[in-house]
Amino acid sequence: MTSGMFGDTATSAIYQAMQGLWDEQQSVANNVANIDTPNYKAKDVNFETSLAQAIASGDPSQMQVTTSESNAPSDQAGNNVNLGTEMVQGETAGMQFQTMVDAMNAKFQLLSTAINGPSNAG
Amino acid sequence: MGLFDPISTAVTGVNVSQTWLDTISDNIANMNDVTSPSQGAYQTRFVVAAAIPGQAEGTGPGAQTEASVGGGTEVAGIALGSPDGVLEYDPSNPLADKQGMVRSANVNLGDQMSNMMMAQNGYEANLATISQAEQAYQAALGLHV
Repeated sequence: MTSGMFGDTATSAIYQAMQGLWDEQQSVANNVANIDTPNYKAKDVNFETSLAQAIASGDPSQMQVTTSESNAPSDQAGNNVNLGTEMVQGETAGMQFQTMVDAMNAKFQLLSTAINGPSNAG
Repeated sequence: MGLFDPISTAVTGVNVSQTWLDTISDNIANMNDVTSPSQGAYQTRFVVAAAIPGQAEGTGPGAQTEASVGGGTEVAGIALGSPDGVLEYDPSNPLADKQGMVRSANVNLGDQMSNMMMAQNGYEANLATISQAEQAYQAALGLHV
């Protein structure tokens, strides 16, 4: 997705960010589900740095989503999921996702204006 | 990536918490069980939880992430505590042996109560994740021209 009316860099970047945020939400759900699993280590999803590099290179679809294990201290069962951190991360990812939806809608609005003219954009 | 993955992952957590609560109520219900000393006492039940590894679909970078994020949690089994119980002197009990001893269950109510709070908190935390994921779905449904 590199060119064309619907495949410009901005649209592609928003799409990739939504993918990354979705993985983040999945990771939060998985960490919370394993809050009492012995020897489970919380996982973090990282995509922002890779997305920034991909946008800089001109092709956001080159973004790579990676995960890493949290090195927070573990409890006596060997589990290091922090419920507070997970809740904040889930809420943040949710709000960022909402922002991306708004940004995508703004892009659609621009296209709609271009197609229909300003009087019907509304 | 399945469409409702964060929600189904949270449901696996709800299910484990539910099984844990069931087990705790089983333990508490049986804490006054008495048998004759020649038989084993009620064995305290323990839930063994294990993480479900993610299922990678396809070969792209997204598939790798899904595999490493994981697919939630599951009950790997129920472990049983010691059948030794506690020998008590109760000669009026029809199950008592010649020495007047009976074997009663050795369920630690303090452990069960603190486990119940942890299971309840886990249950609620997973429900909170579901509503967070639901907000994101609602946002995505708002995509339109």
